Amino acid sequence: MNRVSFGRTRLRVTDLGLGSAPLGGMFEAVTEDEVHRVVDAAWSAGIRFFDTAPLYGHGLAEQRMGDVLRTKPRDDFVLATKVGRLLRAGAPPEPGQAFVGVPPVNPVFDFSYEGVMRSVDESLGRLGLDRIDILHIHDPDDHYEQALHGAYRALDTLRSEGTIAAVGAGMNQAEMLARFARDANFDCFLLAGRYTLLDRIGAKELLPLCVERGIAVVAGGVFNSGILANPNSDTHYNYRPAPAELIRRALELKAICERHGVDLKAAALQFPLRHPAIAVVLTGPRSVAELEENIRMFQAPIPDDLWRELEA
Amino acid sequence: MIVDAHHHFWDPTRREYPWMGEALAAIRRPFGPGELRPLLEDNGVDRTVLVQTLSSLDETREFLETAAASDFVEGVVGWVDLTAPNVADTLASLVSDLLVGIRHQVHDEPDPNWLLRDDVQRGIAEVGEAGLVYDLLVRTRELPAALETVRRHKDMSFVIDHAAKPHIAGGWDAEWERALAPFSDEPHVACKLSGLVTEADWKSWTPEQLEPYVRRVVGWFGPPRCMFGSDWPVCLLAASYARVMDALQQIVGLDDAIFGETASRVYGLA
Repeated sequence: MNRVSFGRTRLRVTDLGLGSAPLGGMFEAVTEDEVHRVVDAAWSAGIRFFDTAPLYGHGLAEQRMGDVLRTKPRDDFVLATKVGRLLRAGAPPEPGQAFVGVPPVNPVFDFSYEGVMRSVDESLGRLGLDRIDILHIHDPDDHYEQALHGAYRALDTLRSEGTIAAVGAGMNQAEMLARFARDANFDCFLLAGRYTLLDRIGAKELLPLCVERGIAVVAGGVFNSGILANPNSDTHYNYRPAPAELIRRALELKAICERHGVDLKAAALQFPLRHPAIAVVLTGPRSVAELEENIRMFQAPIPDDLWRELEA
Repeated sequence: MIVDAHHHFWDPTRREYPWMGEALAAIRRPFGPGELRPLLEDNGVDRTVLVQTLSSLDETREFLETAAASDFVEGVVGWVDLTAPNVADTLASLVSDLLVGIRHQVHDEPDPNWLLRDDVQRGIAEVGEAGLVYDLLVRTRELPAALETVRRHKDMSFVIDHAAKPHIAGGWDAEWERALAPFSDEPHVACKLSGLVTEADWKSWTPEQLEPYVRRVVGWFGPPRCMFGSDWPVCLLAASYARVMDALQQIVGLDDAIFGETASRVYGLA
């Protein structure tokens, strides 16, 4: 694990970060104790970059990650959370609701200036911290204009007041992030699943643009929801059951890796950092065992020959 | 007056750049004056020297046109075929106040002694005859040939690009140190403090890692023979324009010689 600079911001981060969608109970519930143990183990292993969101576990991920981070020296870690959804009792569930074992509140999209300011206050309350370093506009896929004129303006204000260090956006698509890069002054992006061994669309337009502008990119979803961790018939791709064609391609990648004596997971975790725009890779374990395995994979040696073959 | 003594423009949609391999895919897109201008304004840079990227007379001619149309590119380091018999004629055909130097990508030649070929030596002499600087793009491997070259041509100016690219990412580069130090005795040779961030680890470099290398170079050559260059857009692989400048300023301060006077004098910028 290396300490690296984070684009043009003053932040220095570890190049492996802890993501918390799975810890929020994505697809299956995770106990509070296990979340605490995972965050603690990540800290012990040297991870100092933490990513969360109000959506993950409908507040539980922020709250439980905060329980541990509250006990650590605040200047020793960098924390990112997100804006764009408020958690409200009585709101209807989002279609495709992915989190299990969550409190009786549901996320409601709100990319307005006031909604974002409220969201930040509520996140600080759940985290029990007095500062957030990075705020991403979360999943504004169907709300570009409001995100730019409402949410972005709010985050820009927080940045110019010095309340936060970096303004970002976190999405599962590269195209809209490239639009954001052109239309406003973003410091960083969280790109989920679009720069991985299986899907390199991010390298087409977005990542070169980020290199040009000094925008730091955090790579999330590097296993594409599991298919690159375990390519088998009941795995997920993009949060859904994986199509057969992609499972076949993942198995091909696995075979190439194994010819070089490398675990597919190791290549999947390390691949994004080979791009100069990518500053951090997130790992999203749901147990201490998974975390420890992923850290081992992140540090496993990979011969240049394998990279040449995978990048050809 | 702040001078950036080393940067490039390119357009991969129009030309092939053989050196732009997979590792450089992230900067394989057009970069021109429109992209650089705001960076110069943000960082208070007044003028620049545009350096060749291809063994191509066409590129050099185009760079001279770009410079003529620009209000900040004050010099071009171009390319001619130094092995050709008619170097003087070619240089004469390029005649322009904006042509200040010639460079060849020597470190990409298979022969470490390429510079010492008779035809190349004749070509370098013609570059000097034309009143132009010769930019040495070499690594440690080619430094002995470069040293012999500058000792044979005492009546012209040389500039070593990127401090001859020390291997910063691999700990202290003692071979580089031994090979570059003797140039300190050659008063007609200057050295560019450029391209260092991309010789360090692109992700985790710090100004502290560059510092011993910068200090050696400034110690050997002295500020009046050192010049700042951004090496933009190549630098973007490791750092923004601002971070490259900040890192050097953090080490040497805003030194007038390093950040302008040396380049203006050596290249004879208008």
